[in-house]
Amino acid sequence: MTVRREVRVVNRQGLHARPSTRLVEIANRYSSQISIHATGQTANAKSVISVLTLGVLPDTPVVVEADGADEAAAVEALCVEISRGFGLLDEER
Amino acid sequence: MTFAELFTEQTVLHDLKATTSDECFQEILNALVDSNRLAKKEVPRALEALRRREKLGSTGIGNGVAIPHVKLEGLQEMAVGLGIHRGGLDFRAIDGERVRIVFLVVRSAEDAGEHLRLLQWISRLGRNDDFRRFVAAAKSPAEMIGLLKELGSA
Repeated sequence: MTVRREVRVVNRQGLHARPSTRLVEIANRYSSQISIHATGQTANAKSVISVLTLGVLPDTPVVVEADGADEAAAVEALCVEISRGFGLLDEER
Repeated sequence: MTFAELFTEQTVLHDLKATTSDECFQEILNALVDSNRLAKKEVPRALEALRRREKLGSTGIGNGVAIPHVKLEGLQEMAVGLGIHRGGLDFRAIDGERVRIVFLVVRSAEDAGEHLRLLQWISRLGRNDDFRRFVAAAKSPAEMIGLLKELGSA
């Protein structure tokens, strides 16, 4: 089984280096295979360099997809963090 | 203009002497000053900002690549440099690998799209096995510029 969910990137500069690093830190807490789909490309959610190649602009939807023992929890945790800008919104202002 | 054109033989260093990430910042910033890409008076401010940024989280993005980057208010033009470190530097990178390829970015105006595209361009190069292998073995700045143009034009 695979779990997928769409969520919008709210960081003012899109998925730049710091949000991407946070995303990967969260993904690494789970054993499932996790990917991020955006702009017609797919990235490995456990690699910062891979996530950065997506170049996700602000206010863009991404799809989080996980496959594995903890897939539902992984997608839930990542979507929550992505939709709150990884807690970085205040600093980005 | 492509991002590869931001680099010149004076702003790419094929054999960094630095032994720490901090020394590496200084070494690349000095090259930017020597090539007139960055005013000398901006160096302390840039260095301080780079240190502060690194404390927030490593800019080591994996695959032996780091992108230390800062935004300086009032700067006229973006300045970028590239340095290769033969032995690898400890950037506390997320994948634990030592960093051999350092792209340093001092940017000016707030242009989210441009910054994101630059990060995207650098990370694509960093994921390119040929780029990593050849740039790490480059014997001159000219060779590095050739690789940036050849593999970074897509």
